[in-house]
Amino acid sequence: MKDFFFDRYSQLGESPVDVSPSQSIRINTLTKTQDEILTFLKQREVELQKISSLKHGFRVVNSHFSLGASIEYLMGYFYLQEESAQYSVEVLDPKPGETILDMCAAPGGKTTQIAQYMNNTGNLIALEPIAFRMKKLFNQLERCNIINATVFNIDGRQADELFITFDRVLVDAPCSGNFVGDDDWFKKRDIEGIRANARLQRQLLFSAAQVLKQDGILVYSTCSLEPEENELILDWFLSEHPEMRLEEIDIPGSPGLTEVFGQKLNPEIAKAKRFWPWRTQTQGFFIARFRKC
Amino acid sequence: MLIKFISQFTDDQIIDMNKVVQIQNRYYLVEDTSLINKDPQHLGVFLGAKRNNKFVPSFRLLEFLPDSVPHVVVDQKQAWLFVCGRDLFVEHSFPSNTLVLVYSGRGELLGYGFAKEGLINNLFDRGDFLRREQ
Repeated sequence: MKDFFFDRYSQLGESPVDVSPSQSIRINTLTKTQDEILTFLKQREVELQKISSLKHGFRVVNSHFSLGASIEYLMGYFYLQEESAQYSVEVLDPKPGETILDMCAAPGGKTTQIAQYMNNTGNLIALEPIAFRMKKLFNQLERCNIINATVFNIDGRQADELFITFDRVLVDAPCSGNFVGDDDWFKKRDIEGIRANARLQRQLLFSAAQVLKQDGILVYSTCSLEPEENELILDWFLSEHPEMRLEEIDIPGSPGLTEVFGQKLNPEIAKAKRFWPWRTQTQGFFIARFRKC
Repeated sequence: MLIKFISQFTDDQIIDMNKVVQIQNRYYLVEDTSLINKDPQHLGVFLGAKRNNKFVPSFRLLEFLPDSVPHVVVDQKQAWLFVCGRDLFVEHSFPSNTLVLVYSGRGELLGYGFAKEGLINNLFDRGDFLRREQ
């Protein structure tokens, strides 16, 4: 299946190769200041490199110990979060005091990041339909010192049942993922599974648009490289929801594709960003930002 | 269960019990009650949970305890052993069965235990974040 998927990426104009991205962390300023945490890590001889386009993101250049098994981790000073995955919330741009929905919350990387950007104020609503994943989310909320999050054990497609409207909504949708760091990925994935994800992703976006306030911001992201879960979803969404407008986003990455396997798409989709792993040296990722007009 | 736990450390009213909400086996301190009738599973400040018929506090709750609670400060090596679930040898002698908070040299609250003959028997530590996920 590797040849099958790499051939698809080649048809989209790419020259795919295997990559091994660096580990990345996000400093959690809800526990200490960034400078204090960086000093603690420096004292432990952890070598970090700032990711210039992220407020709190750092690549791990060198560490003599596993960062996930350290007192600094247990204190919630940082979150082990892949570089590309940190951009969803950067693009969502949460503000203190707002009402924000994280529609697919567990295990909590982006939920804790949203809370951090809200400075632990306002209302952060996090949805997670699967009970055991919700427990992982609770742990991360406690470890990272989050006190503005309310978690509901419901599916994002039922968000309207809460009768709340939101300033911003993040749909970091369940997806087929990508091959970076997962040797078995190609064995586990096929087009049918990708199409099944796409159905769920459309339903989540439909639900998100319903609960978003006028002039509100909606960010859609996946860690999939497959156009069926990204540009084709956006093309459908823009045609079904003329009130939703795509916005330019100032982050690294390549423009969203406007032609997929011979099918021409809405040219606005170029405003989305794609992280091709062999170009960005990160996981595969896709991000789009809408405003409700 | 929550009140009984706090009373082992202090007689002070460290939290307003009128603002405490129980959801299943978990306790929360909730200032804004507007979302409670929507059946949340987690909200506000997590205070702790009932686990195997015992109350397991959150670190936020331990941080609410007054400075007068007995405590011990440990070096980096001891701190790591403690968060790995180990007991501590301490020079300071506490009366037997005193509950003692354990801090790192940087002032980080690592957990607590009870004093017994030059030892702090580990009752709860931050390594629980990793152990509870296994």
